Amino acid sequence: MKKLSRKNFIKIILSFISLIFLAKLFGRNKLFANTVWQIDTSKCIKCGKCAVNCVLSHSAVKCVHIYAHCGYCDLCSGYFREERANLDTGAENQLCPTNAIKRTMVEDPFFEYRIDEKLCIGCAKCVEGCGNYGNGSLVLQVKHDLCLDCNECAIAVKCPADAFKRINADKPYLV
Amino acid sequence: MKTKLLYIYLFLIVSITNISEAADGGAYRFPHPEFTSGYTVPETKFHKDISIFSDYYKAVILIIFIIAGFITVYKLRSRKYILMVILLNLAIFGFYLQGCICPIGLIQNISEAMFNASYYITLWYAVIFITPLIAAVFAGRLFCISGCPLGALQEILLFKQIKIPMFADRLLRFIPYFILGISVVFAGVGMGYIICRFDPYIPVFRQTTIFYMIPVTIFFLIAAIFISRPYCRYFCPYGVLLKYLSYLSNKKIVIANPKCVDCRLCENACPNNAIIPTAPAISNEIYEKGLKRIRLLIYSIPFVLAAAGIAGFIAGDLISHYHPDIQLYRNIQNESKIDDDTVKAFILSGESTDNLRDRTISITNFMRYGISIVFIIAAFLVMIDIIIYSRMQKNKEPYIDAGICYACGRCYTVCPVERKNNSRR
Repeated sequence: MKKLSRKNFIKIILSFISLIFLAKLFGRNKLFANTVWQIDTSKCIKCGKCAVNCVLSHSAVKCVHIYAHCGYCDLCSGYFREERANLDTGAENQLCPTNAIKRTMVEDPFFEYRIDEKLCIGCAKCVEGCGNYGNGSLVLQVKHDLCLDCNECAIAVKCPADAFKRINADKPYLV
Repeated sequence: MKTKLLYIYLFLIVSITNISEAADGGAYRFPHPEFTSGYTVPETKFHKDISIFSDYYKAVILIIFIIAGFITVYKLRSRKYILMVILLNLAIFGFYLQGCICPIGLIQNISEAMFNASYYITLWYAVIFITPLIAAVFAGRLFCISGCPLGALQEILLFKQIKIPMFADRLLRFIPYFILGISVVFAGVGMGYIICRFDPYIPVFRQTTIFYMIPVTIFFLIAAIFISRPYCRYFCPYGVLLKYLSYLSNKKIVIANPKCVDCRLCENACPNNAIIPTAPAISNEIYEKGLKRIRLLIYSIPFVLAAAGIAGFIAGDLISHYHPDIQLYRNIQNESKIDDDTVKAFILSGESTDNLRDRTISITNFMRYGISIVFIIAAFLVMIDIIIYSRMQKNKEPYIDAGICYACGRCYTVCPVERKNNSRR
């Protein structure tokens, strides 16, 4: 048998150790997965930090409307400010600072509320209103056509409720 | 006030009639509407595509690039091809994939997987992390030109090189030992990924960043014009691993095959001081002085390590105060901070304060002993480095330090023996 040099011996030992070590760090069902960031809406406290902490200049977190849960209320607590003057689409009555929620009548007394994604900044004001007094059908989610999937999400660092987690990219939305 | 009362009234009415789970885990307060006009509730749709490349492709591309690096450095032996690889690297890993996920940052993911029971790495992370290391064990630092966009950016930015004096260069090279250790401890305890957060060149690739990184990025870009590879040599933690593994490689970068003519052109050409010149003849006096110095260094090792351990313990203790869980625990004790978002979220989560207190104790211990061990190991490596530099040089001809050489190929261009070999081929 050829004599094993000290260098090659160290190499073999190192490769064994590193392979065993790395194998121990794999999660069973996540071995082949691609993971993306997403918000756990049950933990979110609607603090508004999502809008300002993303590394992108326009945050990748936006409000999503789950129509199945919506009550279609005339007096939508996610649309109207508490101190509003009238129940109409005037800017002074709206919670949303960028007019991203569009209110249209369906039939009396039901109104449909749609979110214009291009305008939404992810400030969570509507989410808070809807969650506090309504059905909670407006939620914040990370939009994966925008998100860069940074190794360390800058919003996740600042989230007070620790609501950001990594999930399988096959089902990238938690709603 | 009136509207709040109205809301509460409506809530009370509806809560008696219909309660079920809403999207945010809260209760349905208002029932599903029944539409008589034939309106159907739209479905909540999401964009199907994900904007980022899947990790599987990134791993495969990295392997291909490292093989390309191997071929250009060892087989083609020409700076022209190396520059091509560098530019492709910059375009693909840098601007297209935006420099993330990279093996440098994966050090932290692996550290977190080690110390945090609920975090796992995927197979692709392991492949991306280990491939440059395997390449280093067999063929030296190929990753630094072929796989790392930060290195590629610094390579092409070097226009007006100012050579740093040798002692300053060697001194600054000790910083990455500490950065590696500190980032491993930080990632393991949940204090954040400092390598990613303070990466100076990622903002160039993403064209966006947090405001406090703007001056840092500008500084590093300007520095890269005058100093060769400032991040790679003085701050890159992955470089520590690559350096030590490269010393194990059998295949080293060698120029001037078979006989070096000692023209010393390569020494000047190398911007990273990776070429060690022929050892000068030294007098007996200098030899005796050198022996004394080495003896002093070896005897001082225990004291240096003890000092490093104590300094690390204190530093770890101080830094642990900035951990988010410890700040949360402080805020909970503090009456005036009751409105803070983190306190509100903690109360909402229902976790017990005792649980939090136990966590803060384990975090503080981890930081204290962790940083202390990091400082001890880093100080030990520094002492070993200094002792090796102080040894009497015995090499009869110049050689390339495999742990430092970044395979940029500048020496290939200037070496007259290399040029003769190339023209013959």
